[in-house]
Amino acid sequence: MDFLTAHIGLSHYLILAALLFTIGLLGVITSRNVIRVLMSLELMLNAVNINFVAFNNFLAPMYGDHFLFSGQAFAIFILTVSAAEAAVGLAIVIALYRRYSTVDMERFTALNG
Amino acid sequence: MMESIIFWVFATFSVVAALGVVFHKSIIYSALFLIAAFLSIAGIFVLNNADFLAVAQTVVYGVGLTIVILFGIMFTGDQFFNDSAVTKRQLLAYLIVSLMTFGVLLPAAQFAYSVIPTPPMLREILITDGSTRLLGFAMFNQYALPFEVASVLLLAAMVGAILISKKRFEGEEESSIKYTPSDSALTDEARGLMESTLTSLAASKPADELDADGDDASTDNVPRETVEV
Repeated sequence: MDFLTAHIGLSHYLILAALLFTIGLLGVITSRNVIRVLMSLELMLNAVNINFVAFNNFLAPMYGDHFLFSGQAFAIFILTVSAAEAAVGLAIVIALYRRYSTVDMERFTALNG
Repeated sequence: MMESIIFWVFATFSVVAALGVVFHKSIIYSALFLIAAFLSIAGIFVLNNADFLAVAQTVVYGVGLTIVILFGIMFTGDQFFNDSAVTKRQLLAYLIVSLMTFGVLLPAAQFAYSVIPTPPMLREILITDGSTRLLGFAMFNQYALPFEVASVLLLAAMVGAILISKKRFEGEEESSIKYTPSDSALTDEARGLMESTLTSLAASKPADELDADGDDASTDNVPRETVEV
């Protein structure tokens, strides 16, 4: 159990973020429920946030005599945008459900010739 | 030592919860797994000295967003469709995703133990001040304009979400923006000119082409003989 007590570096966080991102990508591609696709999208955005925060912690840039907190600031902007995206996305899902009475991705074929 | 154990706990929790989000059969359980994933990611943020962001993550994602998603699920019903059947498209997706994962993981794992420590000066600042003051300083100096733009974006998203999901009552038009002649860009003069042209065109039609009903014979789709019989 050597790895359990080894020092945690930047790449540990990056690998974790990559894993979460690919799991989210898998959910976006494979699932047929629109709401599950939205949830997987949120997971991907969170993985990106982990990257930003980890880079900010380990490689914080200096500006003159103080540190810049750009990574965490960008993480907050991602938080804002993803909240807006989720609200609009769920509104679209509800409008789609009114129209088709289903949330199955395969059934939304109105533009399918 | 302690930090690494906490990291492994949170990392395992978040990956297991993420897998639950994607693979659990019931979407309600998926949403609950999503809460677990968000909270353990907040723990990861704490390990990275981002205490304000961890609290924001808990409040915005862990509570607010998941409640909105649960509302969405309740509105649309807990639907099961044949999600478990592995189609050819899904196999392709698994292949692409696993290739991408290992394409990132294998190079990254080589550097896993070449440790970059947190700059000691930054560590001191974070221990004495916390990250909130520094983050606020960055948000209102360097990122003041994006901050304001984000507020406009949130307002637009709020209005848009209300408009999109608004229930349409009976008798209401499908689209609230509808075309009426009075709205058109045509002036009264132009409309009068158009109407006079149309009437003069109809009048100039030769009389022998008009049949008994007074309209054009070619527009009558029923032959006259069958009507008389």
